[in-house]
Amino acid sequence: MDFDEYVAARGQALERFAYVLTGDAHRAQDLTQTALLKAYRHWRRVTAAEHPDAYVRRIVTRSYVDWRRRGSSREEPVDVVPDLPEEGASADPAERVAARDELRRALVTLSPKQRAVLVLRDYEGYDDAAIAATLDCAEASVRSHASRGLARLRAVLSEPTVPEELR
Amino acid sequence: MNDVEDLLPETLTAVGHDAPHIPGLAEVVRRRARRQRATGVAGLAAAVATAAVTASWARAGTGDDDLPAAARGCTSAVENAVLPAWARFGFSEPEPRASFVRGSLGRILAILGTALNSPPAPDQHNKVVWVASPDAPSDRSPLRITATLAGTGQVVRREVPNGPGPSIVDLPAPGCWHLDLAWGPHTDSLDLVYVPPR
Repeated sequence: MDFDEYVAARGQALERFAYVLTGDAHRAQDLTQTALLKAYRHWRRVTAAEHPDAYVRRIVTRSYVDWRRRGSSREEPVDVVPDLPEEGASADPAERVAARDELRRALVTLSPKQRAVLVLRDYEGYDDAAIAATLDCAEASVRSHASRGLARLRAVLSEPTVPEELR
Repeated sequence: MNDVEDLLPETLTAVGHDAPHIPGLAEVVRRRARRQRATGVAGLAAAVATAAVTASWARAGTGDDDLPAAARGCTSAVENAVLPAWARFGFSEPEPRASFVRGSLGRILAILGTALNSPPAPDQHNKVVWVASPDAPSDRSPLRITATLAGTGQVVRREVPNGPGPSIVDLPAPGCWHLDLAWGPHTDSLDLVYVPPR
């Protein structure tokens, strides 16, 4: 498989992956292109890897974590996120969409590793071992980031909504 | 209540559906690779040339017209060298080389990914990574940029929300821009040259 064939087959999926990680259109494009640029320069090494796609995703993921560590994010955490709908409301598709929107807003409160772990696990379907290999950390650390990330999301979503006039 | 763990996969999938798509991605990446190769060589040459032209211009006492048009009025040179030790955080290489501009007070560094374009090139962002020196550390308050275009007095303001770090800095015209920078209690300034995209 040459570089063009790879990008034709997997480019859009990579763009989506980068966007799910960053939540920012410009940053996602930049992350995708930067990762593909690195892969392009070392294409022989990429194709020699057992799973070339996983190799490129590792570049994207680590670049994302490095970027967040360096201290800048165009995402601004929301001040207050309302409760999710009450139990039973999920049967209503509109309310489920609203719940998803609220969860989406809460994602910006995650640390870079928490978000990377949850995206790899719940978007890419990676198991703990694959996530650990991608992030170059121990599986126990993966489980810890996942658990803390979920706890963080639950905490943010359980904060009460403050009426505008009381802020 | 819907549990977060139950909602998360479909939420992330919904986010993914909103992702931007660049047609011809492989060609965009190849163009960036070609441009970076050219910038690596040309960046150093341009810095040397600008310094040389500035020096000869100063010695000869000639007018501003002798300077390259885009660099006219600029005083900060682009260095293509190993980054100072304090600016290497986040790089995988032990001694990373990069194109960068130092603040006049040495409190901040602007690391440039490629040549800066105005208007922005459609397939390349004006990426600038700001690194504050340990003497002027970031407190994560915004980095405020006041940019003045040399020779015109045109002023624009930009802000990097969480302070020095990666940013995309688009400015409205090509030329030499003087940037006054402020983050927390610290300030510095430097010049950046923006050129029309090729």
